[in-house]
Amino acid sequence: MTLRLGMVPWLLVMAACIPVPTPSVVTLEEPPSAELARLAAGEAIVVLPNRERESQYVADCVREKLAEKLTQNRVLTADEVRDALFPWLEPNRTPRDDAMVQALVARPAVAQALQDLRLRYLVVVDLTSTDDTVGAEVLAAGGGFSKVSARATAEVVDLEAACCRPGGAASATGLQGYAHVMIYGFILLSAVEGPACDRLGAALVQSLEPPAVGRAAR
Amino acid sequence: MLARRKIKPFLLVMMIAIGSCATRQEIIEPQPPSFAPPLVEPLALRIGYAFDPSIDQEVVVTTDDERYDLRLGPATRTAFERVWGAVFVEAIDLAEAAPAHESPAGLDGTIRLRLAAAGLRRELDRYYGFTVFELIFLNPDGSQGGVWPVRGDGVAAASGQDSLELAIRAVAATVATDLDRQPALRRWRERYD
Repeated sequence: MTLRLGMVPWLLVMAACIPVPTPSVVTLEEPPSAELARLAAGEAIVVLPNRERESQYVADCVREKLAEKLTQNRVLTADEVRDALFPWLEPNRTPRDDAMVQALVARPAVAQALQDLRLRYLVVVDLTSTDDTVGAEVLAAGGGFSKVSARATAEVVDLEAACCRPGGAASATGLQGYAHVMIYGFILLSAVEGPACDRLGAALVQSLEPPAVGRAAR
Repeated sequence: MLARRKIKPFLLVMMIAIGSCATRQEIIEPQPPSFAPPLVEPLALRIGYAFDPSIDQEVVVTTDDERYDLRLGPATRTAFERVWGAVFVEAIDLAEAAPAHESPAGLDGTIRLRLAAAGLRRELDRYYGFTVFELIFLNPDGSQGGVWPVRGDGVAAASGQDSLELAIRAVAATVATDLDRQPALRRWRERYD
C-alpha cells in the first residue's frame, strides 16, 4: 500500500491526542511566621536551595517572585552571597538553627560582610513532589492517571535577630495522565510545582515587604 | 570508472561510521574560583606553602566513549592562594622546586598541596566531578607532621568544567573551616602557648 499525500491530514487527526490543561488546587498550608519583621527599604534578601539539585527549581522560582514584588529591596543571587560570605553558606553548610546562626554572625569578618551587603534574610527553600499513579489498559481502551502534588517549604534565617523562623509551606495538587479509545485520546496536564512555588512566594512577599510609605509614616 | 564512483560514497559512509564510534576527547580546565577570601579569623602562624607538581599534571579520565583531560592547576593555585592568605597571618609562597622536606627557617611550618585524585563522569544530563587533595604538613625541622586528605564533590548540569569548579571550591571551603583542627596545626600553635 502506498502512502498518498491526501491521506496525511487524516492520519494526523486520527493519531492526535488532545492536551487538556487541568487546574490544580493550591493551598497555603502554613503561613510564614508572624514573628518575621518586615524588610526595611534597601535591605537585601537571598533565596538558597535546601538541596542543591532537587531544590534549585523552587529556589529560582521563589527568587523571581520576590524580585518582582520587593521593588524596594535587593534580592541577591545565591552565587553572589555565597561568594561574598565564603565558606559559610556553601551547600550543606547553611546555618539551620539559632545556635549556628548566632555563631556565624558572631564572626567579625562575617558581621562586616553582612553589614556591607545589608543582608537581612536567608530564605532556605525546598520542594517535595509525590505521584500516585492509577489506571488500566483494557483492550483498545484505557488510561493512566496520576494524582500529582508538590509541597514548597521555606525556612527564614533572620541575620539581624540571629534566629531561624518558619517561612511557610504551600502545596498544589493536580491530575496528570491520558485516556484513549482506540486511537482517539486526550492528555491531562496539570502543573503543580509552579503554583506551589508561586503561592509560597506570594506569602513571603506579604510577610516581608516593607511597609507602604503612608503606613510607615503613621 | 563506475567502480571508483561507487567506492567514494562507500568510503565516506565508512569514515562517518568509524568517526561516530571513536572516543570523544574533551579538555576540561576549570576557571579560577569567584569566591572572596574566606571570612575566617587568621591563625597566628607564619607558614610557607608549596604546590606539588601533581597539581599541574593532567588527569586523564576515560570511559567507554569519552575521554576527559582535566587541567586543574590554575584554578587550584588561585583557590588555595586565596585560602592561605586568609587563614594565616602570613603565608609565603615557597618555590615549587623546593625539596619536599625543606622548611625555611623562621616559619612555623610548611604546607605542601598535592593532587591525590580527580575524576569526572556524566550520567544522564549531569556531570559529577570530584577532587581529592592532600595537605602535607612539614614541621620546621623538615620532618613530616601529618597528611590530611580532603575530598570535594561537584554536580552540575551545564558542563564538566562547572562540576570540577564546584569540587575544587568544596575542598577550599573545608580547608578554610577545618584546618585549625588538624593536629599538626595545633602543635605548631602550641609553641606560642
